[in-house]
Order: sequence, then structure tokens, then C-alpha cells
Amino acid sequence: MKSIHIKGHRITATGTYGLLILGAVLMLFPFYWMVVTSLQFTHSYFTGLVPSEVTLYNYLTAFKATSFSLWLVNTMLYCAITILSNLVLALLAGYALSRLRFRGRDRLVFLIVITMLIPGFLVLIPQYLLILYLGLTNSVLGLSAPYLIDAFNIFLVRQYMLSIPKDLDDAGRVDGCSEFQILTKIIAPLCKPVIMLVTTFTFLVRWNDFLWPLIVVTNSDRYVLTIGLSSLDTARGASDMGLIMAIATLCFIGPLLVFVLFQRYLVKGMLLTGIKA
Amino acid sequence: MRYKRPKIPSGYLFVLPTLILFCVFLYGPVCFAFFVSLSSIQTLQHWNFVGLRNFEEMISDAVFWVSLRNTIVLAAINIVGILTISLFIALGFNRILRGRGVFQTVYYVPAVASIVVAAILWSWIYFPQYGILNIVFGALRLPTIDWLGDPSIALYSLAWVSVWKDMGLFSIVYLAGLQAIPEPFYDAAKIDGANSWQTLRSVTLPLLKPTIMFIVVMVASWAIPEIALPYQMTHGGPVYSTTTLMLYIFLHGFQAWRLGYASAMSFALVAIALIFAYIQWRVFKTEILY
Repeated sequence: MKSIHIKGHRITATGTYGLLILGAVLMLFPFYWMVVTSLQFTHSYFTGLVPSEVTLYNYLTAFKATSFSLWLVNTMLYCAITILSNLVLALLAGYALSRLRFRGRDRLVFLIVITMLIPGFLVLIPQYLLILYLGLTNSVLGLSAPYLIDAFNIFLVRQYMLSIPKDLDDAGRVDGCSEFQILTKIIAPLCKPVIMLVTTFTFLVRWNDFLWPLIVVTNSDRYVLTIGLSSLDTARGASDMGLIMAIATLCFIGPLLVFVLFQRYLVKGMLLTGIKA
Repeated sequence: MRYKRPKIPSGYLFVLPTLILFCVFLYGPVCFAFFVSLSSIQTLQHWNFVGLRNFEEMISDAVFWVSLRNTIVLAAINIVGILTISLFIALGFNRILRGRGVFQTVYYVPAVASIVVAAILWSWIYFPQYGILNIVFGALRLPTIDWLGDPSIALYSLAWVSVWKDMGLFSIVYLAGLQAIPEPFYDAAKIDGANSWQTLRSVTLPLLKPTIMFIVVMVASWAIPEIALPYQMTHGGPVYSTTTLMLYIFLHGFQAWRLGYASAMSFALVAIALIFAYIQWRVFKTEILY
């Protein structure tokens, strides 16, 4: 009886593996084909599954004949500014809202958490008018301004800090630290996992951002990668598939690397918050 | 004692920058959105208060209603598609012991790609003459299909791309839910002689209710403002069959510079979100019992 059960289980296990592998092919095939196409001289749509002659020509063209390198710099700046500012502001606010006592603290927590319910599409046009009014269109600052702090990150940092014993702060206070010093010297170094989480999330979301850069940036030298890629695909389409796939590959490598390296933080964080990565 | 007590508690100072940013970029704009929707804006200096005229125009705009329908259909396909496909992927994950981590990583990959990359890749896959999908269909002697050019199919083709992109991510959410179900529930079902389908229906699914709710909320909130896929793959066509409300808002607001009208329509989008929230509340309102 027992052996039959095990045998039956083996068969379904093989079937499960088969289906999962089939699904994995479906997940990865488009990316495989993207890379293969980017490595070939091609002006046609479908050139087969195995590269016939491998060349970096398309990648060189991306750097030489398009504004790719500018787009890359803009994207990196956009990510760097938003990551840095989110980290600093979330650590400050998270610290105050989890470890300090002052009047109206709970009301402040409410005010911050409630912003998570504001749909982005509702504030899109007023935000744009504001950026326009401030003359910040076509600039990295205008791009970053609405995303300098995200309530999700404050929430994450606060939850994490609540799990750190308060005795540490008191030890710092006895030694004459200011609140700011307690945060920077004692608490922040203990927050590495949540710092990694905020960094990874912010990077992925901003790197892949589409609608806001599409609206705010109209000068092609100020594009971020996604918008540059989008405009190139719209403008050149079929005529330059190798080049478009090369830029798509380059646009995809960053998030992929970050994902593979910091996966353990991400999956945990996604289950907590459900931010789109 | 050189220590001087600061006038303002550090707590306020630490939260102040965040609060200022929220006032400028979130609270302010929310209130302002309503004002914009009641205006006609030619330039920044030239605002006209037009009352409810934008909303009146919206109601008589046929394309608005089409895009409203498309948005609802797209969100519904996303919810149903992801809820079912991700569940089966997660059940698969849950069944295997070796290589689960590798599979999870692989299935997550499309979710970290930019939506623009996904849109471009699938545009090529869907391409009628030389796209891989029709090459495969041709090889299998199936009729080839104009995936993005046929108005009755294009919206479904787009919906598949976002299901494909996010289903791996949500299968991991499902898996976390599955693994939180205590083993004795399954033992009890086994003793009662339930087959695997009955176990799934009567044990697994009811206990997954909180997970399912979470997934519905997430998928709906991502799918309702969908714009990148129709923008990149079809430009809303053919004949508005893939124009989502967000795309229509974008075209009016930022290409035709009719920000007042666009803002009025974004309130319609809020209404859709609320309707989805209401339906979800009705469906799931029974208590979660363990």
C-alpha cells in the first residue's frame, strides 16, 4: 500500500515538474529571444531560435547612434535621488513615529498612512501642473519631486524599528547622544534589512516607471530609459529590431541583477506590502 | 550642564520634511484635482471656471464609455486570469521539494522587467506575418490570427501580457498563503476520503480567502490605471478597442492639452476603483474563519 502511494506520488511529481518547466519556458522565452535578436545583424522579425552569427554591433550602435548613454544617466540619477531621499526621510519619520513620544503622534501616523489610499492617477494632473508651474519639466528634479518620499517606506521602517529594543536608545541617551545621533549611530545600523528593502523597491519601481516620465519629460535628451526605448520602438519599429532589442536588454539587466541579488528582501517585502516591483 | 533642551521636540522635526512633501504633492493635489476638473485650462495663466461642463461632456462622449468598458474588461480579465493561473502555479510549487527556489525565481522574472520591455517583446510575438506566435500556429496548421489588429481580439491580447507579467509574482503570494494552512486540515480531508479536487474546493480555497482578497486588491489597483500596454502596443486602436480610460485621459490631458476634461475623467476612474472595491467587499464580506 505504502509503495503504491509513493509510486503514485512520483508520477504526479514528474507531471508537476513537467508543467512547471513548460511554464518556466513561457516565462523566459521572450527574454531569451530578446537577447538572441540583440546579438544579430537583423532587419527582419523572426530570425530563428539560435543566433547564427553573434555580434555586439547593436550594442555599439545603441551607445553611438542613440542617446542611450544620456537616458541611462538620467535613469540612474532619478533612481539615486529617490532612493537616497526615501531612505533619509523614511528613517527620520520612522524613528520619530516608532520610538519618540510627542503630542499628536498617532494622528501623524494616520495622516501618513492615509496617503497610501490616494490613487496616483487622481493627483497626476495637479502634480504635473505644479511641476510645470515650478518650471521643473524636463529635469531630473521635476521627475523625482513627487516621489521623494513614499508612505509605504515609512510604514516599513516604522514596523521594523518597533521590533528593536528601546533599551538601546536609553543607553545612548545616558551617554549624551542627541536623538539624531541615536538614530544615526545606534538604530540605523540595525536597520539593514529594511534599508535594503526600501532601496530595492524604490530602485525597481523608479527604474521601470513609465507614465510620470512620459508626461514630465518631452526633450529626448532628458528621457529616462523606458521612455527612450518606447519612443525608439514607436519611431523605428520593424526597421531596427536588433537595436531595439539591444536597448531593451540593457534596460532589463539592471532590474534583473538587483532582483537576483536582493531577492530574499524583495519577496518578504512584497508579501508585506504588495508594491509593484 | 551644557545640554540644552531643544525648543521643538525632535519628533516633529523628523516628520516635518515628509509632511511638507505630502502637503505639496499629495494632499494639495487631491483637493486641487477637483478644482481642475471644473476648469478649462488653456495656459497656466489662462484658467476658466466652467462648472460641470467637463462632466457633461464626459457623459455624452461615446469614446469615454468605450474606454470605461475596456478598462473594466481589462481589470476583470486580469483578476480572474491571475487568480486562477497563479493558484495552479502555486499548487505546483507546493507539490515539489527540489528546485522550488529556482522555479520561483524564474517565474518572478517577468515582474521585474519594465512594462515597456514586456509590451515591445509581446508586440513582436504577436506580429501577424512574422511573429513567433503565428509561426507556431502556422506550423500546427491552426488559422493565424491578427492578435493586435483585430478589434475583437486586441484587448484580450493586451490583457494576456499583463497576466503573463504578474502571474509568477502572485503565485509566490499564493504559496505563502498555502503554506500557512495547517496540515491537520488536509489530514481531516484525507480521512473523509476527499479527492484532490474536493480538497482544493472545500479546504484550500476557503482557507486562502485572505490571500485571494489581497491578490484581488493588488491586481485591481494595478490594472485599473493601465496605460503602458495600449500606449505601446496598439495606441488604443484598432477603432478604440484597446483604449483604456487612463490612455484616454493621457491623450486628452497631455496631447490635446485638455487638462480639465482629463481631470474630470480621472474621477470616473476613481469611481471604477470604488465599484471594484465595493464588489470585492460584497463577495468577501463573510467572516474569515479558521
